[in-house]
Amino acid sequence: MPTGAKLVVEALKREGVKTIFGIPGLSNMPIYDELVDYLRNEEIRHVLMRHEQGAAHAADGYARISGKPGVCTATSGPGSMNLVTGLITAYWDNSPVISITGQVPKSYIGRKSFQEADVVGVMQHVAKYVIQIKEANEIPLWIKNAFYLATSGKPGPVVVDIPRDLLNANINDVAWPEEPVVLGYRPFKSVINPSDITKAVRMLLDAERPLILVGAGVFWSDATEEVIRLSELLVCPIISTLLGKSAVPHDYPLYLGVAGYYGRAEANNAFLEADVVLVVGARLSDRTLPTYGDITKDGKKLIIVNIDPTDVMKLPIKVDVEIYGDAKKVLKAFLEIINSMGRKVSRIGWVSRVKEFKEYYSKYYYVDDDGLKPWKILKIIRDVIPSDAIITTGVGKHQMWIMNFWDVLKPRTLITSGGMGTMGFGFPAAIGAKIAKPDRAVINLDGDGSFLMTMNNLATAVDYNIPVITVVFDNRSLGLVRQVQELFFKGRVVGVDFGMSTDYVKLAESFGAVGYDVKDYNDLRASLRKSLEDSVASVIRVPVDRDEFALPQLPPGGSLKEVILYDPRKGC
Amino acid sequence: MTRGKVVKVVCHYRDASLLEGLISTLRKLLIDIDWIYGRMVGDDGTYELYLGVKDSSNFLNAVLDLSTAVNVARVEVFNNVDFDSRVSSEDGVVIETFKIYIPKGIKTDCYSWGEVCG
Repeated sequence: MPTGAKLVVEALKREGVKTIFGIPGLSNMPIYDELVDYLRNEEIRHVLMRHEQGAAHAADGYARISGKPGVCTATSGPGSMNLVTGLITAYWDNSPVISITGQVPKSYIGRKSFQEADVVGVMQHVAKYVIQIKEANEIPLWIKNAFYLATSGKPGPVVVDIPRDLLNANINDVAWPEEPVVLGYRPFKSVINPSDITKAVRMLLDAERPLILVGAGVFWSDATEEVIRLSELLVCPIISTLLGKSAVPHDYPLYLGVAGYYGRAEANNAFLEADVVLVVGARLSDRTLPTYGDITKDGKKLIIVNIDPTDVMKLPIKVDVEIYGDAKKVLKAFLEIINSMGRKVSRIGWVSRVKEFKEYYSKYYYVDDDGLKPWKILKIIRDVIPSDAIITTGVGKHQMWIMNFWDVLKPRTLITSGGMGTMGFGFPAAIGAKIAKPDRAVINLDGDGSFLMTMNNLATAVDYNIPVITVVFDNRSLGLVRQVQELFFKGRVVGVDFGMSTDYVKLAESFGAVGYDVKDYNDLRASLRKSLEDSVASVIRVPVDRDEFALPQLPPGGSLKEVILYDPRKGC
Repeated sequence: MTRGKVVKVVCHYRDASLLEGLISTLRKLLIDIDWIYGRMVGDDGTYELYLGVKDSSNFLNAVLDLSTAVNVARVEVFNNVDFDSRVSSEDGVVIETFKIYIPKGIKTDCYSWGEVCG
């Protein structure tokens, strides 16, 4: 007679789960006990993280790279509460993460029991859905439902909270559901109306200065090929959001870069000058468009393709054509209509114009004076690592440098915390990514402030021989906050500078990893090559001047045309 | 008798977190709730919940968020609806009445998982 815990593990196996990231404790221990046989048979792998936040980020990294749900587990109370940051990070970026949390026994609930926490009350605000199991025989259905909810419609994290007495209960009649059953839920309806597509295509063909804005929806639906083909047929430049960056190979000549708050000036200018913009899989957040005035002026026409119609309904602007559905399917329909029309376009003037933007702004970006320059560090890393290597990032100034100066060459090779901006995401996400794609190099490009938040998971990487390489952009400060204080708080720098106490080589070595302290570009090249060859967990510390700004940037709430291109302390 | 905006939520009850979730959806958008009335209408746990809410610039966003919350089948919005709440005492027995007057043919906006119907 199986226990509730056995049903959990068996249900996960039936959903195709190969890896669980987690930490055991009193209330999820029955799950671990049942997991033993599955681990011995190598049916499921468990990765012991060093903090539950790391477990959630690792599951998230696994999901973003594999395209399949990532699974994490934690015990009740502090264990489950430590998941919160990781889950909201996944929620904001629509990543399918399943979290199984143990709960105190039902009879203990509400008594301020040891390690009791109101998981449903807390998690319903940081996840797509949370369910607390009431009877043990519900477990198979709700694990199935969790995977359905996490992966359908707009993906997101789902939490299944199970009281310990139910995990220990023996179940007489086990029913394994064929299909999920969630009352009051349905994935968004795809509405690919040929007349809407035709209207949109005509607008794009007739436009003088069309533009495609690519968002995370293209990443999740693997629609890179369709976007590029569309751009080629329409002779239409592409810009992206931060999360959409990973969906467009940057060696494609009409890709201009990330637009928005910290975006490239040429991408922002192209958006401002475009007369028709096709937005695919982006919700036009405040990070991409701090002010909607940049759309409404000059009569710009807008076509939006989105899986969630409510994203579009919430926009306070006129949208000329709305098409709801999966980006890949919709773009295929665009291509069919364009091909059937047989119309060719030539946009020599517009293409020359965006190329001029690119050339003009380069002089502001690629300055090579004293010290190690972030753009050059990234260029060297790009040259050394394989084109399909996976990059994860933390959050901070280094993330903005990566946003502007990292060249994605293959789709789905860059993951970052876009919506929530969670420091500490990069390293555990890299562990998840490496487990998803063990044959690919995985490099976490991190800041010192961000890396220190979750670097305790180095022990996990070493114990399990997960050869993730971390490059730390070490400016001994919370650099992006410092930059905002310098630019917008009259230089009143406070609470952001670190001392010199952290020795990254010793830190790496103390966990059993390999550490490198880079002095110059040749050092960086050599240490990176050695790390790739040795295939062991490594930390490469790269010193960056504390005063090195992450530019371009807009003022808070500013228009795309208010871009700050150079450090005002230094002059132009 | 008071006149105002009423939001009707047709949803599926599993536990009281349903109510928490609905109310917090409005709270997150800084929308005040004047009153709530709800009842079970189906054996499968289908509930109709009526909320008297203050109008706000966030109102549509709140309705859209409600209409895409797991366990919510649909959300209907009634404008300018009369409702009446009275407490009276007859022979020592307190009688409470709560009535919502929804006129036939009133224009209703209905939202369900990205679909809009009138």
